[in-house]
Amino acid sequence: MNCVYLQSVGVVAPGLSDWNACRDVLCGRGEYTPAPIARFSPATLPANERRRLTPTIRLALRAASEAMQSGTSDPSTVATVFATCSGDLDISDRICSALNLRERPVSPTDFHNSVHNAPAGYWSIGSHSHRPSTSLSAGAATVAAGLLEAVTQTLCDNHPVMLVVNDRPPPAILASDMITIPFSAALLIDRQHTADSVAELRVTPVRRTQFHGLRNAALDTIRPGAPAAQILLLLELLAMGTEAECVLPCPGNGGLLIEYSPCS
Amino acid sequence: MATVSALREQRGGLRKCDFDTATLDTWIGRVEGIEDMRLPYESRHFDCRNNRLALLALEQDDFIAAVNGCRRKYGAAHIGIFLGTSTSGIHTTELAYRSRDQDSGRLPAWFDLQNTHLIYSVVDFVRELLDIDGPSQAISTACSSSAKVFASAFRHMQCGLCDAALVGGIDSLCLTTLYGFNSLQLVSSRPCSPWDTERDGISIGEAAGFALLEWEASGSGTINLLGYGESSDAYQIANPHPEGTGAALSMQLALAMSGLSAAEIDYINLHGTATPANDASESVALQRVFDAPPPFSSTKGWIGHTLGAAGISEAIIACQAIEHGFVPGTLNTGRPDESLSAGIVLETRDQKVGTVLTNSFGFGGSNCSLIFGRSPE
Repeated sequence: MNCVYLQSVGVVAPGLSDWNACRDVLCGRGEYTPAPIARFSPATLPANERRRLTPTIRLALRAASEAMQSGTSDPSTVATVFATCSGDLDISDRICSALNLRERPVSPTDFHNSVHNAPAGYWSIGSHSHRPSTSLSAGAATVAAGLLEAVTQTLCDNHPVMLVVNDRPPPAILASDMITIPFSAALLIDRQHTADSVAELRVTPVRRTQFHGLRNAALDTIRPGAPAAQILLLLELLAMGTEAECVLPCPGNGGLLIEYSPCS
Repeated sequence: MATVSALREQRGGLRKCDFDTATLDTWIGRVEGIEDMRLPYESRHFDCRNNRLALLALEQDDFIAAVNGCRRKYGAAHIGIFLGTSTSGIHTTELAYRSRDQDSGRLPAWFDLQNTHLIYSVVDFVRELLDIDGPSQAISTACSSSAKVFASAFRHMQCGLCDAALVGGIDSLCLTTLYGFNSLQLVSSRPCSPWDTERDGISIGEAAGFALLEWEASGSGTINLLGYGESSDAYQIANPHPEGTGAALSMQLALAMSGLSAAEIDYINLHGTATPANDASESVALQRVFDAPPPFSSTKGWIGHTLGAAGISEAIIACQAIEHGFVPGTLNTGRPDESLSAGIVLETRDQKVGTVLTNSFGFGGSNCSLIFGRSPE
């Protein structure tokens, strides 16, 4: 049985400035009003590294910072899984544009930030964590794949793991129906029950299942705007705080069943 | 077998850069014939250099038949797929930008971001092609990508999420990496010479490799993944830790998991990229882990640095070293740098190899070490 404890979360999306704002909308206490995301500058990074951050990296680090600050784990003991469908498409655009010029002046900073583990690399620098870090992608099923990776890591390797899901829409030239809103969220999970534990999560792959949307219709309309936003299905369980389940999409006919039980 | 013969005969595959319209003074490892390949009709929306290279690798060594056998044994839903890539099909995006509409600036209608450019493309292509329906993910952690697939696959199998796993790595030549590494002054104008006094950068190569893993042993004497170790440098994005901190940690974690002592490793396949900083950092890490390192070498001189495919390429070479009893040499290296760990093997030699440790380190400070060995006879 693949069972872990949910320790803390972080969220950022248009109109959802943090988990408190997101929870209020998910459980019907607040209206959803889209609004631009304020620029985030992580205080834990040295200034020379902070200067090089792209909007995509800032988005991921913001959700990660909130999840980490909401718990009591020492960031240097936490492994990470960064899951994204989009990657950093602003950089792809700039590099491909530069390659079209006569001298092909690819920016060294763009190139080293172009690796998909750039957010993970900056996070490890800021958190002084030498723990493992995986950056992965699974298209529309990126959240399910990221969660399975995080769950299997904490179960097998016995350290807390933070899952960060992150998508940001491409510039107009690369526009895709798949990613139309920026969205990032982070979950800190652990195989050990601690004073921080808020819920137990059991994850099980299932076949040919029924998918349900969010109760909040306004948020459910933004959920298809980024594969990372599928995590709202799990966050809704946390917002409601009662025993319940949801299914995250997987490739083909598959789904990932999450059974949620609050810790008393 | 072609790889084993080339390693034994000291025959490398690097050539002067002749890729696309690149005009850099460097050497590359280019796989011939990809330009003329086509994907099967039903997979045509995935068409890009990276996916063609993946198909070419799958078609070697009766690999597809082995996957089919595995599917019959376990069922499609019980086979996971874990593939590493760093740049996916970005060369197709480069070509699309070259064909931008002069007036509107738009990309041509044939461009398909999701199925060629995005990182999951090659996994989606291969899982559809081979009818694999278990857990799937594309790992993209720069040059450690296709070493880390072994660790992820292992954990998924340990947790009972699949009984077998297709792991691999695919990275194809593109202008992004050629000009990108050039902008960081990390490409050599000569065939790369790891650990050499004169080493001055990498030769970029392309490669695809796959391995089929089963959780239950299918007989004695098979080659097993004995341990993996993963770590982060937490230092800088584009430079390795000068004291090899993360690299040493990943080797130590792999050793701890395998239950082997450092003295029980018979051969180390280095990351060994041939940049001055990378080799120096790895050397310090070796000295921290091994009192007296076993024979070690870098095989980057044969095929270049294949980035997201380096992990799988070198894992396969490690397994071939065990299976065929040899230690690969370090092509192009004439004068080993005396400031680095001594003992690098320059010429391939026959030798019984029971256990191999292979290192893969990437930008972002992402490290992975794997240990392979035979199961007890």
